Amino acid sequence: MQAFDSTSWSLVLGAARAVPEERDRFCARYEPVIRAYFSARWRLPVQHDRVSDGSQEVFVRCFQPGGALERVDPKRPAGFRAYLRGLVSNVASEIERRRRRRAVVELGPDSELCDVVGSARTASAAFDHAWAAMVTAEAWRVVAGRMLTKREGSERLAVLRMRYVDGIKPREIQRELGFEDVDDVYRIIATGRYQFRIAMLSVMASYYPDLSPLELEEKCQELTELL
Amino acid sequence: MHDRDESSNDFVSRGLSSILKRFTDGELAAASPGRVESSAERRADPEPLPEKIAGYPVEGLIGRGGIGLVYRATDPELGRTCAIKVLARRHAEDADLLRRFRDEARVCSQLQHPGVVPIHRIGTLDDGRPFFVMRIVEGETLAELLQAQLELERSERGLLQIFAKVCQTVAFAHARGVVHGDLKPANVMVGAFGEIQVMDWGFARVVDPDKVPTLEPRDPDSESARHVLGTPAYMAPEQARGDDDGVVARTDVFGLGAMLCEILTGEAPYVGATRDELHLHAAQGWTQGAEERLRACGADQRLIDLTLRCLSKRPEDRPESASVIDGEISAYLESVEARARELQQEVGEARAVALQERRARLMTLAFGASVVLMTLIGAAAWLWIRHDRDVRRSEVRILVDAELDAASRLHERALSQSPDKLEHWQSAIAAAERARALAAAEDGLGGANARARSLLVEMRAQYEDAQGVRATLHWLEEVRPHMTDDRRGTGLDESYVKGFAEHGFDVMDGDVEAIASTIRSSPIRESIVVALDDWMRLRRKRDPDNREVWHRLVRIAERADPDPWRNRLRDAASNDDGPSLVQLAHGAEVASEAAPTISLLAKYLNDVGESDVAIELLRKSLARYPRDVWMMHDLARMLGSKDPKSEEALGLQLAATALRPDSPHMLTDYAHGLITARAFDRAEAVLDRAVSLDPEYQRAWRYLSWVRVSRGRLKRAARAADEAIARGGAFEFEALRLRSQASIATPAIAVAYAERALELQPEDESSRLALWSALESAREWTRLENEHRRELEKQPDDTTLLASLAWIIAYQLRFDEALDVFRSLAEEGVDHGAAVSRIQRWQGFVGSLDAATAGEIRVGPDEWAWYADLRWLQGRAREAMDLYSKAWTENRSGFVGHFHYAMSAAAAVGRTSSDVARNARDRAHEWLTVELSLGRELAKGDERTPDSLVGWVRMVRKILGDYFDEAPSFMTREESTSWQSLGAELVSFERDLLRRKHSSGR
Repeated sequence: MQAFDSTSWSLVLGAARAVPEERDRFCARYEPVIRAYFSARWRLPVQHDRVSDGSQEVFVRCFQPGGALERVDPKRPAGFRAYLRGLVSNVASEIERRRRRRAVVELGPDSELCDVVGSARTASAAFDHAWAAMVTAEAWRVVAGRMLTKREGSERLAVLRMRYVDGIKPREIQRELGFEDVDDVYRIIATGRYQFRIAMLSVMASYYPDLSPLELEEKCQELTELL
Repeated sequence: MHDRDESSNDFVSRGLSSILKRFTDGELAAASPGRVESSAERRADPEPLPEKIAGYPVEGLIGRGGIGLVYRATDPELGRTCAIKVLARRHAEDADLLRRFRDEARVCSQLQHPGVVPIHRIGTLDDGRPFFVMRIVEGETLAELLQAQLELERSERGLLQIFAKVCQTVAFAHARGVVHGDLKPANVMVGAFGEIQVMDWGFARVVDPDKVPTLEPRDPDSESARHVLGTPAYMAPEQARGDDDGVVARTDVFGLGAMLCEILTGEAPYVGATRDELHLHAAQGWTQGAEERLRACGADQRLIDLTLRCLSKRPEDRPESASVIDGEISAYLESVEARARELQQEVGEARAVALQERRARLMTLAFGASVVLMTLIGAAAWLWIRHDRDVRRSEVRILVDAELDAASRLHERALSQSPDKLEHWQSAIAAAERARALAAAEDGLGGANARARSLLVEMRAQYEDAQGVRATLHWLEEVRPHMTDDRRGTGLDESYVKGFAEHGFDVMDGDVEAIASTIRSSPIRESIVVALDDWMRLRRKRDPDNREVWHRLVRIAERADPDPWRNRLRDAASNDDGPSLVQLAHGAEVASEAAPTISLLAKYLNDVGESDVAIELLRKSLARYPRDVWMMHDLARMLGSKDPKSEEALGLQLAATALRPDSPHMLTDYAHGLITARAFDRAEAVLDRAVSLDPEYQRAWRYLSWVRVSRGRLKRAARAADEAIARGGAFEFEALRLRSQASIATPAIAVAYAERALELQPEDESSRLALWSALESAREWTRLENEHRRELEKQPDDTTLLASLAWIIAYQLRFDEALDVFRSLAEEGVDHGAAVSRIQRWQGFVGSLDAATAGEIRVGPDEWAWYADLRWLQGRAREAMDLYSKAWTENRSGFVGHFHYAMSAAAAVGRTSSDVARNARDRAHEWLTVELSLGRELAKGDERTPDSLVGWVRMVRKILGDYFDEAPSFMTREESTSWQSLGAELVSFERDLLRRKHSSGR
């Protein structure tokens, strides 16, 4: 029925309960966000080995008995994003400390540290950006399920792209794509907007189950401002 | 649903834009979760009607459920009609649905209760699909009954009796550890003989496996297991979130509450346009709408309370199981029956007395009457007994009619009053609801019930319209001050377009005639036209080259408001036709125009330079509209722009504040007048009130920061600026600039804020000066020099800028270069003799600086200050302070020309709590006290000096900044008190100087 494969807290809690499939999906969902953080903090490509090692370490912390996911509390006001960001930041600091110690032992106290460390602030911003991208992509999956599987899916996508990427006015879209009535263009845009709005609110609601409609709207506003 | 609001600032636009930019079409398609079967496709899946199923001849299709089909068939052995449910062909491969289907059969066969359809047989077809044969239930679903409630004249009591039986059935299941999982009116069959059956146990689950051990275990990995099953409009939050572990008997309790909600209010708890939206509401447990409907439905309070408890978001707040609800509903029905019996008894007794009297009269008549007459009396008696049964109904009908009459009267009143008077609508709706509640409680009053319902439907729709009108009026009232604040018009179109669209007027995209017609038919046409006219004027004033929007607005306004006088005004304004505007102002017709139109004409006159005519027009019109605050506001602004010190303007602003004491906009305008009059303390108090009334009002926060900077209350000024920054908007740059000024004690921060201000408004002169001032405090000479050179490229003839550059060069000890610049200025005829002389002195002393400070050469008493300056320019502030102290001690008069540098050095050294810093502050305090008294003496003796003295005061306040603030962290309380008192003296001195300056200028 529902196009989300799982609500976010149930995914997190499922992973905490060591359900193998939930763990795989947990990793698939949050790995890009974690990688974005390490990549910005260490100024390394996203696919760099050290970034991969860092991500692995985060997942180990998450899944080990008595680990981070077992301590997670869905009622935390700041939500899972803040929790995960804190965890990733702690792991990054520890890795950096280890590397510094090793640098001192191997190269002597005057040697330059081999880490080129970006600011934690930049890394947090990258994390938030990646998180926002993940949530919008998650919402998009729902919309795609509704829209792209329809016969006119590609046409609808073209309309949305022209409107939101190229900033073309509905009347011009009507002319360019040969719609008979501009209302058809408006309808496609309005339907897309409506579906995306509900999908965004739903995804956000799965992270913040206790928020009112207005508060969820605000959360969505804040989130997309990170994009 | 088809909103045309596509504001680029909303999260939907941002989100869509981001996702569509990020991926190619192929990637976007790949993000789709797979081919999703649409409801249309499901409808188009025609499973042919089989002739026989497992040997049962099929008569027809009864219904189509979520996963199966139900056929009417004949049992070949017993010859009775039965129902056969078969798994739909398209789900034949889905293991989880197969399991669910079998579960349903098992649950039904094991729950042996009159409320659960008995299963005769379970089997598998040749194609592998499971089926089960069950008893056929003839009748209708509760959903159909609710739909047809009026036609059937079924009272709420009757529906509650059905509901109680549903509760009993579900309670039976709960007692056996089974949760239904999809309770809704459509799953309750009401048989032709009143029997009730709870259907569709396909989503049932076992919550106590010890009691019903036969259900197959679920595969948590299966696709459908991860899906949320059920009907969102009736679903408990834990179920909607897919929390399998959270589904318990109380989940069904929610479903029962949802059914009760629909019985009482006619609607399920969640109402949404799509399944997704319903699902969102269900997952979040947003039942506020249902709560409002329940509270307004007129049902008994006990029923409302029970429903609300059942609909609690947290399962633990709901009744424990269905048996609890059954108990409460049964108790309620019993109490209603008991009350009905009591009423019947009371009415019966009263009727008996009347009947006896009448019988006595009839007996008298009977003696003289014929047999025929006796027969007639017998018939009358029979009729009387029937009548007795209807008496109670008639009494209720009278009450219902009275309430309906009241509702109609109130309805008419609501229609005749201003549409935003919501209280009239609320009274009318309340009366109709009372009528409906009375009619619903009594069988046989279906007609009255129908009238009440139809009146309610009509009035609720009109009430919604009235709410819309009120919201529009509120917006128009709100948008006006914001637009007048938006001097640069940055957010002008966006705010108006969005606001008009939100209130149903698509002014930018729709057909002009259609929009005009919508406005013409609006009950608040005049207010909308005034807003359009205001927008037109502002748009034209702020972006005169963009005529497209302006012309469109004119066309809409002309069609929506075809008044000839106002159209002449629009024509004249369109053509900047001053004489015509003046003619309109002097004509007789203007007197009959409404206040907003007169204000508009005055503003147009002001725009074309006829401010005197505009002011006179407003002055005259204020006599007619003495309480029109907007007219006062406009007049005050015009007077203020002619003379910032206008007492008349301040008086008008004060009057407007008195009329609108809770208007943050009026208060802020008044505060602006007070600031201009340098009444800072009163201005701060007024602004404190404005921000307390509307903490989101950015302009008030900015002014508050401004007034606090002016009063030297830098910490508070920074806080107010932070509030203004947090609210963003078109004037964020001003807030940032004020934040920079408030942070002058920490130059790096001041620089950062000034930079951000300039990023937002690169051409803002004040922000640029704030940045330079901050760079100077930070002693970032190289950057300041580059900034100057860049600016000089744009304005090569600016001699002041060039002189400033020369000083900056000199401060970097490049004296020759600085002197060259001053010489080139002298060639241009701009004399800077004093500066040249000072730099030459520095140049003369710089060679002996180290020897002098080391005591290796003899230094004259008036030379120490020059060496001190050089140490300060080198950035060695502590040493400079020692040398200034020596200069002060040895020759005070020689110190005078070095005061600026000495104070700068003291400020740099003094901002810690060390002894050295304390010593530097003490010195500075002493120097400033003496200089201030000298300044006062100087001001007394020379009428021409105020300008330079004002500059001196401002320079001191800027350099020492936070010293005068409340309790800086590096000072003791006593010390801070002493500095604050010195700061107050400086402010008072500055005010005296300015007063003198203005009085001599008049």
